[in-house]
Amino acid sequence: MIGWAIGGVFFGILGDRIGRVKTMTITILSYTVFTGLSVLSTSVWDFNVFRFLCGLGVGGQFAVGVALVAEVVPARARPYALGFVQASSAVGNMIAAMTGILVGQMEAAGTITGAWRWEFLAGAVPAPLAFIVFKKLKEPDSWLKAKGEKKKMGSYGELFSDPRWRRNAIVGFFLAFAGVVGLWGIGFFSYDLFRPVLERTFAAQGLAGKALAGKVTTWIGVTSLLQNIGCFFGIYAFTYLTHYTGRKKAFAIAFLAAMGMTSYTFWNLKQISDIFWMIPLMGFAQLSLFGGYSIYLAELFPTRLRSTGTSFCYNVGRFAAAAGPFTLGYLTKDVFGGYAEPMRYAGVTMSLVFLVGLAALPFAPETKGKPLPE
Amino acid sequence: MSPTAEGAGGQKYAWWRELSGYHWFVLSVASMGWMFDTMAQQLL
Repeated sequence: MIGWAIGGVFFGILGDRIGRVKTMTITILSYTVFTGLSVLSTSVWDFNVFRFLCGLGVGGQFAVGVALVAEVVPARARPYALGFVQASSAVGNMIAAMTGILVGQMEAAGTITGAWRWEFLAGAVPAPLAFIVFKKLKEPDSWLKAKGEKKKMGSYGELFSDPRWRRNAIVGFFLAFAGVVGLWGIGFFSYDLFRPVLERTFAAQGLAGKALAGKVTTWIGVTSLLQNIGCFFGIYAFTYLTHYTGRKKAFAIAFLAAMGMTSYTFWNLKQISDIFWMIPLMGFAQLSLFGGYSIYLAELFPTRLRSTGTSFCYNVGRFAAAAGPFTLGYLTKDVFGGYAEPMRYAGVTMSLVFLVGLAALPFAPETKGKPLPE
Repeated sequence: MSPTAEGAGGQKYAWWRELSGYHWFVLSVASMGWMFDTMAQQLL
């Protein structure tokens, strides 16, 4: 996550300075090539170096992609197009989950060995997309115009010296911080919550040892797919909601829904049947916020700072989010360790982070129906 | 229900009808870039 955050900040600035298309080309090459090169690693050290370099590209993609689409598509279609981009992240998660299941089964069947290497090799397959981006895409007219005006492009000094952009950057940061911590610090740890439920259920059916472990692994894959289906619809639901309510009310509803559904799931998920509706609904609520980030963050900054500002809000939150799992672990072991199932108490407590986003909303500008700042 | 946009003349139509072939191309490529990005994240 540190690599993502550093890459996000670096490529965010680059996106404004050298352009969306060139930067997107570099980020795609970075995350695909270094994912593929991970296959060649022989120790944990070179593996971590490859993953860090991959992480730089991973962190950079969001801001330039969002800036590019926001500046190219017609204004009235912009929220829906950006929601479409963000919803594709759920599809990426599902492809990764299915790739993992596929190579795992091929390894179990003896068709391949070293399943993780095949999985990482699959991550290199999209590399040719970088050449399509480089050859076929043009820089947006608004970026070319801003570049031609000889204004300073992609600068943190510019971002924080102007009161309007500074305020938007700080507000955007707190909005993104709440959602990023909520997802990476809590949501993705729901696996630790339902794994014991799965183990209890299948052990009661007489499974043990490898058979039990295999069944649990398969079900975790299925649960991941269910979660991401919820995510897909949640992201896209935000674009519908904001069409009727505006950005700020849509965020308020999404923050409350995310807090409510996350705490409800952590407190009440006790049977395998609960997984089928609680996990998709939790994914729906948590990821609806991310639909909002793709739409709203690009609307907060002028063309010359759009990629920089968007990446600041989205990726600097990741630095803080890196502490989320530690906080969850601290709450589980040290604060609620004396309770039965302390993870439930820790998850409910952590879900209060969504209130941070809610508290930032009164300071956020309403951008619905307004043109992108120039 | 389809999300609709309101044109200058007040008529309502689906947002995707505003997109040209190039808009769709940009949207598709950017979506794929982000989709494969999140796929790479999950491989961690």
